[in-house]
Amino acid sequence: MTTKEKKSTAGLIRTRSYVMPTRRGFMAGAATTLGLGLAGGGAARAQTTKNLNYLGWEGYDSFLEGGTFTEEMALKLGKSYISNSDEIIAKLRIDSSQVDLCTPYFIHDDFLASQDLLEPLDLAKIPNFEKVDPIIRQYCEANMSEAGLWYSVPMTYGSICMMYNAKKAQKPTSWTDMLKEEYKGKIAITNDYPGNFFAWGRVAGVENPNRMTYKELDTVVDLLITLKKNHLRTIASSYGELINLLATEEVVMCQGWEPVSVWVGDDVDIRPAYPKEKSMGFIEGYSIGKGSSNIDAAHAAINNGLSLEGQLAGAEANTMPVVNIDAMPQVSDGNRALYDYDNIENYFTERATTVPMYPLESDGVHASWDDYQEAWERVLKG
Amino acid sequence: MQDQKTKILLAPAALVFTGLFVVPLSYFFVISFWRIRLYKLVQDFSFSNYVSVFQEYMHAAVFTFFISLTIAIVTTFLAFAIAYLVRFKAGRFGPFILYIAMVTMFGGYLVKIYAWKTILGTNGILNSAMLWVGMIDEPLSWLLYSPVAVVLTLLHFLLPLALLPLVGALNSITDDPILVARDLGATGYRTLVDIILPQCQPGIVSAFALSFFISAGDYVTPRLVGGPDTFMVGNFIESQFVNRLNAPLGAALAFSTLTICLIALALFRILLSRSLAPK
Amino acid sequence: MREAKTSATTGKAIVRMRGLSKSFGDNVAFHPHDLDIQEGEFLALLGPSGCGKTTLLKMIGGFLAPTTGTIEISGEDVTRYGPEKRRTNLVFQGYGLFPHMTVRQNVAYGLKLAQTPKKQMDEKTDRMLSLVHLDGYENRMPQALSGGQAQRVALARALVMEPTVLLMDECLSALDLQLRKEMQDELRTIHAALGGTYVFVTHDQNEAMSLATRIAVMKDGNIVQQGSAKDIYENPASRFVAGFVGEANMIKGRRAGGQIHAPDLQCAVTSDGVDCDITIVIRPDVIEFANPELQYDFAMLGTVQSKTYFGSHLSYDVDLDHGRTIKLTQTLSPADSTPEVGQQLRIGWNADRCKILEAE
Repeated sequence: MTTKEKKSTAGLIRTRSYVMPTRRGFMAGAATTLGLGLAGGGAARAQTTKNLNYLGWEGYDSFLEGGTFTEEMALKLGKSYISNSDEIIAKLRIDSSQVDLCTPYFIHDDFLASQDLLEPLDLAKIPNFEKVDPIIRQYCEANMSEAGLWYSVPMTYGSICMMYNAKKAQKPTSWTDMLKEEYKGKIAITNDYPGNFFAWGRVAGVENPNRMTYKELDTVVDLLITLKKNHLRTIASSYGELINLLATEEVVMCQGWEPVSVWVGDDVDIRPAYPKEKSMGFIEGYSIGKGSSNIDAAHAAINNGLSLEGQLAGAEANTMPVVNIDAMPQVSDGNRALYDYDNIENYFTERATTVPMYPLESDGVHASWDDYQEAWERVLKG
Repeated sequence: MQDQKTKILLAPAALVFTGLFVVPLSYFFVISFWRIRLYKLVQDFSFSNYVSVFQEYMHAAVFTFFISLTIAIVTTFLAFAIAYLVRFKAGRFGPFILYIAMVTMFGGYLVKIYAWKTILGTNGILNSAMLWVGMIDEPLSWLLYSPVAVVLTLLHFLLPLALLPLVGALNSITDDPILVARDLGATGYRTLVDIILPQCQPGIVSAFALSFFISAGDYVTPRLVGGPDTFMVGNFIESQFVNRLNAPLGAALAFSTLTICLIALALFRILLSRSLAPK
Repeated sequence: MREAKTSATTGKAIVRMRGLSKSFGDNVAFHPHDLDIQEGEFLALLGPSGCGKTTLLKMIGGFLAPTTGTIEISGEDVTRYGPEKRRTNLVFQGYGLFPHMTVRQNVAYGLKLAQTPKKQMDEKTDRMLSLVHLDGYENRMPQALSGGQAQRVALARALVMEPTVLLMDECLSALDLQLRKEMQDELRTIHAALGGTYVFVTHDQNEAMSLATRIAVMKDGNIVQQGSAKDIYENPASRFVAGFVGEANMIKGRRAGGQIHAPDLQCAVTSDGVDCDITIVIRPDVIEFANPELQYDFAMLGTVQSKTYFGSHLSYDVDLDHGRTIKLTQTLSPADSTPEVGQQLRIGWNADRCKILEAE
């Protein structure tokens, strides 16, 4: 990787974690709100070029714009990048009709659909959906579809796995390797609470960490507090932060995400590892805000994101995997090395597990979404 | 007629003030007595949010209070020393020192945070230098991702801000009373305590308030350089608003913090004016 | 370096300066001088701005370190001492009141620093406040005082320290004329009542003459003449002093063979001395409208050009026949007739009442 490329990836603020908590991020949020309003007005006026409002992670838009699609369709994406997946919930709540395209958090999909914030997608207008690998379709169906209607369609996937510095640490085989004495103070996790609860819930023997009982949740909180107090260097607030920690060798092992191993650059040898307890898997998709006035164009854009050109463009730009079966043989060697397309089934059975949304309300036994978040605060306070 | 004109001229300021300060604050104050039901706001009038604040966030509030107090005191003290240098000791270099301090504000907030990461990291400039000199045998890990780093970073960020009101206050002090004090037998220290400090009380309070409030409300610095144990109230306020979609609890937490800060500031003012009052 | 000018007088000198000078870079603010200040004297340093009078005062007070020379106060060498270690107190031109302290706190501040017992401190403060007529103003803040009151506070604050030498820097110049006159009277009264040695700087010759027991006239960093007001007025040592202290008619001429020749004068007068260019200095009050029955050493014809009434006296400009204007003043008594503008008459004065300066 050249220096220039390194710079561009290090500059990405696209994370699957909750927050890049910067003032700049805050400003971006404010600008987004403003931008949505302005772009909305602009769309009504535009005669020749159609504006589509995109709300999502920086980088996830590169699939949509792959090839010559936008020129051919005379489309322009008005982009508002998020710094936190919860921003999408907030913006959809304020006015979902102003969000033509968005990239909700995988476990939020059915929650958003149930809140009537997303349009059901017309798969007839997304013919490339047929090209999505059937295994991926199988694993995302529970989250992305509701009563036979799809509210989101997949364009890439990944997992909150382990990362390690191959020169400074042994390849980990379990999340509990983070507790080894020799790595004390050289471990980091991200502030991604679903990923953390998944990992340490699995360590605690929970089958489905998104359906923990209060007692199980308490056990996991204790595990995480022990990890935090005795082993962590810090809790990285974003993947940008995590990359910084890995690059300066402040940490030699951490919780992370596959592309980080490439984004971190060539100066350090960072590799993903899949612990035996498995990692939280996710499949990222595109959705359309309820009441969008550009439904047809949004469908066309999503279809392009799933096309051969769109998939290759997005995957190579971000070092993320493709889901289109035609694209899989055409990816670069580096991409193929990172994502073993011949064994996708194995990825979702042996390495990662997709999980459903947390219960919105507690049944008295199982913890609710807010309980999980409260539990995460307990970890931070602990 | 004149009154009418004055009112018209003041209207934009009043409007901006109301729009930017009064309305949002009132809104969040009202909200702080509401509650959240299934991630949606429900009107209510209950103090349960404040009870939760007291039960769940007391430790964070106390920690925030003390770390902010430390930062504010150190910042005000150093800023005063620099302002004193600029006003009394540096002569024609005074404006230059001030200019340099102001220029560092240009870099912005994040730049300073990342600069301190580079300095304080395990393989950072400071550790490398101390290792090289032989002061230490292995890198000090507590320099970064610790309260120390939070204090240093915020101090660096706040210093030029705190400098401004103090330079203003010191510049408004004339030379004659200072010379008179010496003439009446005052040492440098007595002149400082009896003559200079009492006259720049408003500047000291401004500098302190600025440092204290910005520190107490900050959530970026603790997150980026504070490490796993340095979470401040701002982090939990942010979490309530952004992650848990619980604006009422977030607002209650914010107002509680604000109240504590205001009380602390009032105490600081009283203590300062008592200790500097001429006897 | 030039020789230090010796202006030391005998007697009991409370301040003794030897070879004292001050330079700022290449700029000499005060040339080397020896100067003594006698105990109990009221010395005025008089001169135009930039003459070095404030520089000298600040050196005495310890605010400026001299470039050369020494200062002794009460027999102790204080050359290297700052103001806090000298028993001198300076009243600043701008008063320099402590804005955050009441009148009482201002006045008592120096006593407090000296750790004077409370009772004694209160007594002294009260006495001083009453001396400067500020009873009842003890708890006012400086912002609520008039210029004259502020001046009194500054004075009281210095006096309460019972300084060996009280220094005042143009401290009346900010007051209006009426107030200034009142303060001059008060200063005189206070000096008489308390005694002590006062040194004050002024550019106002009237102030200097009304207050000082001794005046040192300064110019360009030099003390050019010193003496009592009468001495200086009557025997100015130079054209500068003659012009700066009081009004003077100055007529240029030449002395040759014991005779004075001046183109402006219509008469020849004898004068002892070497042959040289001279200036005749005549104060307006020594010139009279000639009484035909009297003889004058100098006498000439002129026309009254203007006439100004001052209550106690009249001031005239008289044009001599060939264009030169002479100023004269006439003290009024009821019997006197007063010439009118345009009137032609004779004026005259005697040689012993005027001063002949050899050319500088």
